[in-house]
Amino acid sequence: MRNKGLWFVLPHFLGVLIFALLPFLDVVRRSFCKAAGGFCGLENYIAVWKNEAFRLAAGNTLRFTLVCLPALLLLSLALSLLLYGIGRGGTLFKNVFLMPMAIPAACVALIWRLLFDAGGIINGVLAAFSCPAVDWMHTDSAFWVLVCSYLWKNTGYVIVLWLAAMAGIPQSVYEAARLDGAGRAACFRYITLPCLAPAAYTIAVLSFLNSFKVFREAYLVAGNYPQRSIYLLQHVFNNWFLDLSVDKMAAGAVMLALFVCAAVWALGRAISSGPRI
Amino acid sequence: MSRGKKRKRIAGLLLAAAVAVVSLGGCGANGEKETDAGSAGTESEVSSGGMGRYLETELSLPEGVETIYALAKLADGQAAMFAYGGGWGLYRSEDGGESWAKQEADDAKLASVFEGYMTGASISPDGTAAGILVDYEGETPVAAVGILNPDGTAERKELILPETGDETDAYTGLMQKCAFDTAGNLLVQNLNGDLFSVDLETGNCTFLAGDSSIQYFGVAGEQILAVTSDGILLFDSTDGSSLSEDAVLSDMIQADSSLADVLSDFGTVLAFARETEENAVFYVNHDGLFCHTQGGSVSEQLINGALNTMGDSTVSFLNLVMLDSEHFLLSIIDASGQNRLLKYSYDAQASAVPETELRVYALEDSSYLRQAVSAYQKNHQDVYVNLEIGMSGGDGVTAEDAIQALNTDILAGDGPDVLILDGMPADSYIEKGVLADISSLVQEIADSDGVFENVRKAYEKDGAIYQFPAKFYVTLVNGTAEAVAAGASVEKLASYINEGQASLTPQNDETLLKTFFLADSAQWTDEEGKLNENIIRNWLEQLKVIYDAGNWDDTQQYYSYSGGAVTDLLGTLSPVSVLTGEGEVSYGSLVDMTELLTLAAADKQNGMTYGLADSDGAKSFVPYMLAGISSSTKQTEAAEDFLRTLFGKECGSVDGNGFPVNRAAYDALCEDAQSRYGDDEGIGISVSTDDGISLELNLENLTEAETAEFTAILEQADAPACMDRVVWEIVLEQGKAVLSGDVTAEQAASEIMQKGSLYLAE
Repeated sequence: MRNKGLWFVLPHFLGVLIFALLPFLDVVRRSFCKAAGGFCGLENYIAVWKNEAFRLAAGNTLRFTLVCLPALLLLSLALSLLLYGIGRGGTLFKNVFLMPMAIPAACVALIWRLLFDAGGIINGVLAAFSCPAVDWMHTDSAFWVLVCSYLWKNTGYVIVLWLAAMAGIPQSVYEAARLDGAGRAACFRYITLPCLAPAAYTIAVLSFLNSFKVFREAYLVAGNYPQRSIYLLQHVFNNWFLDLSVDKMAAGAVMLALFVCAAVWALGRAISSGPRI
Repeated sequence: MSRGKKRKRIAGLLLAAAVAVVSLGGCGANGEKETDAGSAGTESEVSSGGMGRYLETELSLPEGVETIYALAKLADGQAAMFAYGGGWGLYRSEDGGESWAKQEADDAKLASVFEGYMTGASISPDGTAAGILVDYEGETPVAAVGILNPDGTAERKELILPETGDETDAYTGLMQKCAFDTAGNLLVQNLNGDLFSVDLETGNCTFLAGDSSIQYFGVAGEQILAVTSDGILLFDSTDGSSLSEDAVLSDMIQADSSLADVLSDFGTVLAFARETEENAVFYVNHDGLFCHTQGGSVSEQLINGALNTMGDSTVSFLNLVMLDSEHFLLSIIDASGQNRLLKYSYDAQASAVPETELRVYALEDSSYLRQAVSAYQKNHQDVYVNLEIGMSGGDGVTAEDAIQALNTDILAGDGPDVLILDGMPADSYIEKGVLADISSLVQEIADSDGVFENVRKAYEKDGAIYQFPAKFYVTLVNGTAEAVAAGASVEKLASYINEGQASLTPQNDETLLKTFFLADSAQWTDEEGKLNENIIRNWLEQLKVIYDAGNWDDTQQYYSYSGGAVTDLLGTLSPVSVLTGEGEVSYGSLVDMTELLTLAAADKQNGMTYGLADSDGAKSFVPYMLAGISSSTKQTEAAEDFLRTLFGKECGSVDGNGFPVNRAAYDALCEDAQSRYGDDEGIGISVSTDDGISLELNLENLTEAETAEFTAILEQADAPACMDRVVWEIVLEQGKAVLSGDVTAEQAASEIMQKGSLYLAE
């Protein structure tokens, strides 16, 4: 049978079709309707685009992604290169980096409070060194707290992905390059990086999607209306649902889906046009 | 691949598909919502189909009767009632309570026999009525039994208690409950939990059994069912011997310990019938009427309380009587303190469950709502009101969780028919077309009973009304005339207090914030709905001044309020604190006519006055029990009928939870306040402060001028206070920080603006 693999994909595809794609088509339909019913054309899209809260949240989410994604990819790549070099001894470190993933979001929120509260541990340490206290959660510092939290939580997972990709590069290629006189830098530039490109695409997409999950921590710590810099798109959607603003939610969701698709496509193009072995 | 293998694969795939379809179908079929019917250890008949149900009718009491002391079935099958209404009397009915005939007796003799404070009464199967009378005049209470014999003669016997060794124990003689068993033995119980058998010839009491945890008891046949906070103890009524415990009955108490409470009106929320049937006990609670075969593993629910008055959590039960297996009598005390007699008759032609279901949703439970459901159910026995409470308490569900779940139902087309909008995003629901126009219904009530027009106008939107409150209350300021004038706005009040002329009566930070929030927040937004930072900053600054001047003990909880929804009723006005000198000005809400009586009495005594806290022109009121009808309901008629009950005179004229918007109900409350103490000069009550200051306060009937003055204040309030849960939570968080001095009013106002603006921008 030539298309044997299709049978394995089919059940999952059916699941996605029934539970994601078809409901999304309904979301698209609703995005052109008023909340009370009735077609309204692009009215919802215009209203959402003009909505101050949505624009702020979209800007914050984009800013967060643009800061976090490169930082995460580079930091985890650097650490995985180090761990790869250590060999078997790197397992312990790998496990340490993975630990944050096992901590539930509610505990992370609690740790946040302990660390970043006005009378928290960090301000206690600052006070010990006679430094002025920082209002971490009620100033723009909250954004950087969120960035650090994201990096802390996701670095271990991405390291594992990088290490898996590195393990797939044949050692014979490196040996041949060394026989030709290539140094470590040249090996990394001309062998490791090009070989990691397909994995980089997957890792970047996964990290990009994971960046939306940071909302849980922000929500648990600061509620529906956090400091402006960490007011994300999920806050808006959550609050709109409480308000039964399905029209705006649908339009916003379609816009977000289009943006995510475009970003994933652009990422794929960028990586495929990168260096090749 | 062979043909056989292919066939097997196809068959396997089909089988898998069939299993998937069946399992998916199975998930959907049982997706019934959880309702509040039924409880642990009971077997409900609500879910079953078929025909046959007990229907409720309210019976008229004999003319003049006000208080039912005892109700029973006599040996000859007649129903009997021992009652008071200007005089004592035993009434008999041969037609199951439909009509009553008073037994001939000497009224003057009865008056002397039953003189005193009656704590309990009972009727024996032969028609002897006995009442326990407690005399409080002496150092220790003395109990006597008044007896009305079947031949109409009456006598009084002092109860002679066995020696206890502690004659000074006040509780020994304090009898609080009595009952005849089927053999005609009179049993009494004192506050110590001791049970005695009384010899009616001599008044001698024989100790039967006792346990200090016994709260009250019932009799079933010749068994005593003594209710404790942990369960039910069983004793033989003839010799007091202990019987083996019934796990189902005890579990019922353990599941809900309030069943063991004796209420202030001497009613209980659990009552037993003396009549038994094949070792089965009949009892009633707010879940309904049950039959329990002793030793059995469950109780069978004969009548579902959710379908009638039994489910009204504001009523307490007095007596349950089984006339025969198809007829029960139940006497109750309702929320207004009136005694009522209900009859439940089995109708084989009525469907077991009403075919029409009306779904009513509220974020929080309330006695007012329960009372309305019960009142509606009484008149619409063909409709089952399914009351869904979003935050039932104890399960950790927040208002946000509950609203999300409700919105999911609404979007799925499975929303409730009637929405109680307190604490909910009502404006958003109106905007999204979730609520139907109920202006014609409100007009109908206005035409028949009248409504407060200022309240109606506040909810009119382009000629339509989508939400309407059943009750409302206002924020008042109480003190000297100057203080009341200063209390017109928070700024003037702060200035008045700052000049050292007065201090506010004690409040904690949250109560202070909430009280002033409800009075002033209607003015915080402009026409476009944007918050005004200057007004908020100024408000916080003034509150800080008032709070600091108070110098109150933060650790003390001055009122029961401790967070919660913005719709919580407060009753924070404290004229008694002004009277006792704890502060010169009191600022807060007044939530019923009884509080108005206290306010008027205190003002008369210390020459104070009161006025509306009108916040420099903003005369706001706080709505309660805001209700609307879902625009997608298929039960429009039933939903409108329910709102007629909710907004109606019957529910509104029960004092409490604010003042009724229904004018007829309000007038009835005013009339009651003008005649509550009859022709007497009122009643004196003693009030004391934590500092030990004790004062006498004389509560008197209100005069017409006094009720008119208050009515005029209610009629002035024309704008609903900001009831937005999100805005309130933001203000509470920042306001507390300002009062504690952690942030300045400017910083807090900026934070409120930032968060509030985001919320309003959404």
